[in-house]
Amino acid sequence: MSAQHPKLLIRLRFSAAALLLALSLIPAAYLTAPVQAYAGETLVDRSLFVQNNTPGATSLYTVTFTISEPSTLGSIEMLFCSNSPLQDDSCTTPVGMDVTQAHVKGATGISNFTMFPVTTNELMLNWTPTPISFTPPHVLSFTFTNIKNPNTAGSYYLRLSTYQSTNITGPTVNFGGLAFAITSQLQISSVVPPYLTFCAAVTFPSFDCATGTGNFINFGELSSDRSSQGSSQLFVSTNASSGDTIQMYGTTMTSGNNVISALTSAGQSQPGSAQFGLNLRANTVPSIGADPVGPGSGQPASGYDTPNQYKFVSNDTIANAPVADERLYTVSYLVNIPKGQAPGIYASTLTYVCSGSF
Amino acid sequence: MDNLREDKKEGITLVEYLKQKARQLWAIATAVVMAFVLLMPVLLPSNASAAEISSRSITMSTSAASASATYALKFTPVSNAEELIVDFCSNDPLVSDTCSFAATTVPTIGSGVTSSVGTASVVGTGAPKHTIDVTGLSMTAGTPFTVNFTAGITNPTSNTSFYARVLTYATGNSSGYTPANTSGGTPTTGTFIDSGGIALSTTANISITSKVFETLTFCVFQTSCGTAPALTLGDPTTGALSVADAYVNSNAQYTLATNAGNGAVVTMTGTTLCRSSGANCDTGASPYTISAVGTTPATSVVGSEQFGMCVDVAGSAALAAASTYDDTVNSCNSGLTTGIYTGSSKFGFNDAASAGGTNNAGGSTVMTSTGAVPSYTGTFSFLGNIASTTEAGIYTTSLNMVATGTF
Repeated sequence: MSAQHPKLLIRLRFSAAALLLALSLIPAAYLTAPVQAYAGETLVDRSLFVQNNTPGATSLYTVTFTISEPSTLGSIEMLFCSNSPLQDDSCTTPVGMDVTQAHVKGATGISNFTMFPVTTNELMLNWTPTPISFTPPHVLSFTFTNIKNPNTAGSYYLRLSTYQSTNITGPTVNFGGLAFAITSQLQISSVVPPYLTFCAAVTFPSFDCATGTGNFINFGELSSDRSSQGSSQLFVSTNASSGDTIQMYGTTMTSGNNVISALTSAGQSQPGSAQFGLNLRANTVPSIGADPVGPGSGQPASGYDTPNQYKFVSNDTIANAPVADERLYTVSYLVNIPKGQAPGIYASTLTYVCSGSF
Repeated sequence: MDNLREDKKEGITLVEYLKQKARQLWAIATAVVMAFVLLMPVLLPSNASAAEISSRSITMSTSAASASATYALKFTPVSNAEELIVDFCSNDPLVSDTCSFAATTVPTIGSGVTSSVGTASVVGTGAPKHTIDVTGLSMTAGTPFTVNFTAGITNPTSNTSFYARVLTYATGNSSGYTPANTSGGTPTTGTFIDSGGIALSTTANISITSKVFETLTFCVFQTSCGTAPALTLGDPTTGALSVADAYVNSNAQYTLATNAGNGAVVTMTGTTLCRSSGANCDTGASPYTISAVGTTPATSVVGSEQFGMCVDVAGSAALAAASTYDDTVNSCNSGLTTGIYTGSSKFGFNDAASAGGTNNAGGSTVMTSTGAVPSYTGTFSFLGNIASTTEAGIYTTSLNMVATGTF
C-alpha cells in the first residue's frame, strides 16, 4: 500500500483544496488592455491650420499628414464633422460650413491631382488614371482657400481617409482623425485724444512748458550806430495728424505816437534805419537765434525762414508743421533806429497762437 | 461436530452455535485487520514521516497559454529536506496517482530550466517533459521556502487547469523519482519526505478596445467661453491712452485643452492698434498705427508708442510662451490687472509681414506645447503707451488666435 491515507477522504480534501487553490491562483483577468483607438489609423503627424478661425469666416485651410505605411492611393477623402473624428461614427455636418467653393492653393508631396467638393462638408482629391504608390514616411500637405467656417465657435473634426480607388469607394487604406477649433476674434480698441501743448517763454531748458522762464525782453538803449536784438522761444507738441500752425499777433515797437517801422517784407539788418522784424533761424548778422530743434518736422514759414532776413507782419504764420509735431523754435528779434528816432520807451507785446489740425 | 454434540448436550441450538462462531471469526478478522493496520508502517516500505507541506502556492508570471513564464513556488515544509521534485500533471495533484500530461494540458519544461536557489534540471523522457528536479537546497521544517523557476517553463498551449505535485527529499533521494513518461502512467515517487499538490490554470487574456477621440478645445473669451472678447485699452471711462500713463488690459482669457500627442501651437494674426480711419495698418511706423513693441519683449516706457502683449502660461506644465510674448519678469501673471500700469512686466508684439509676424498668413507664434495639454485657462495682457505725437483718433485691432494640434 502506498503511504496515502484513506484515498476517498484525501480525494475529497484535495478536490476542495484544489478548487480553492485554483480560484486563488488564477491570475485575475489578465488585462492586456492594449488600447487601440481604431484599426488602420496610419496617417500620422496630422494637423489642420485654419488661418482665420472665426465663426462664419471664409478662410484658408492647410491640411498636413504623413503616410506611415506603404500605400497605393487613388483618392483622398476629407470629411468635416461636428460630432466625432472616428471613422466608424456617423458624421454630423457642421452648421454653416461650406467647402463647395474651395480651391487648391498649393500642395506638397504630390502633384497632378484634382480636387472635387462632394458636399458642403466633404472634399475628394484623386489622381487619374493610375493610383500612386507612396513609400513611407511620406508627408502630404494641401492648402485650400475659400472654405467657409462653421457658424458657431467650438470644436470640430476632420476625418482623413485614403483609398486605392480613384473615387473614394471601397476599403479604406489609411485613416486619421483630428480636431480643430473655431473661436471668437479678440477685439481691442483705444482712443488717443487730440493733444496740443504750446507755450512761449524767453528760454526753455527742455521740451517741457513747465521749464520755461521769462516773458520780457529788454533791448536796452537803442542806437543808430548798431542793431539791437533779442530772442524768445516757442515750444509746441501736438498729435494733430494734419499738423499745426503758429501765428504771430502784435504791433511794432511803439512809444506813444512814435513807432519804429516794421519790416513788412523780409530784409537784412541796416543799422541807422528804422527796422523791427523777426525770424525763426540762426542768424549771423546780427548773431542771434537758433534753428528749430526737436523730433517734429515743423519749419519756419516763408518770410521768417531765412537767416539774417527779418520781417514783421501781424497775423502772419511764422511756423507750421504738416503732421504731428514736437518742436522748439527760437524767435530772433531785430531793432534798428535812425538818428532822428524820437526818444522814448518803445515797447511791443506779441501774442503767438498755435492751432492744430486734427 | 463433537463440539456441537457437546454443546447440544448443554442445550445450545445449531443456530446459536453458528452465531457464536461467526462472532468469533469476525473478532479474529477484525483483530487481524487492526494488527495489520498497526503493523503496516513497519511491514511495508513507506515514507514513515511523510506529511503534507503547508501554505503552498505557485504564482505564474503570466497565465497566457503558450507563454514563457516564471513560476514562483512557495511552501512550508514539515521536515527538513534538501531536494525537490515538481511534477506537473493534468489529472490530479496526488503524488502517487497516475499522471496525465500533454503539451496542451501541462507546462513544458525545457532543458534550460533554472531556479533561483539550488540546481534545477528537467527529469523524464516524456513528450513533453513535465518534471523539475532541484537539488542543493536547504529547506527547514516549519520555515517558509521559496524557489523561483526563472526560465525554461512554457505554459500549456491551451487554457486549462493543471496541477503541480511537490515532493521533498533528503540529499540524493530525488533521483529516485521517475515521472510518468507516457500520459496516464504512474510515477515512481522513491523515498520522499513531504508532499503536496497545487492547482494552477492558464486562461485567456482579456483584450479591451477603446476609442479615444482626438480632442482640441480652444476658446478666447472675456467673461466666459462663448463671449467674444472686446477690450478697451486705456482709461476705463474714456478709453483714452495717455502720454503720462501706461495702460494695460488683462481681461482677455483663453482655455486650451488637447490630447494631440505631438503637441499644439497657438498663433496670432492681426495688426497693431490702427486708426480706424486710416488705410494702412501694416507694420512699421505709420501715422495710422501705434507702433508695436516688436520681436523682443520690452518693459513699459511712458510717453513712447508701444503696443504689446504677453501671455500667461504660468500654471501649465505643458504650455510654453513664445519668446516674444514671454514676460520673464512677472510671468504675465503677477501685478497685471486692467488700468494704469506702473509695473515691470515685459510685452512684445511682432507685427511683421514676414514669417513669424502677425501680418503674415502663418501668424506669430504665441505659445506651444510638445504634447497633450491638460485644460488650462490663462490670460492675454495688452500694453498701450502713446507719445505726444501719436496721432489722435480711435485705434482698433482684431486679433485671431488659432490653435493647431498635431495628432
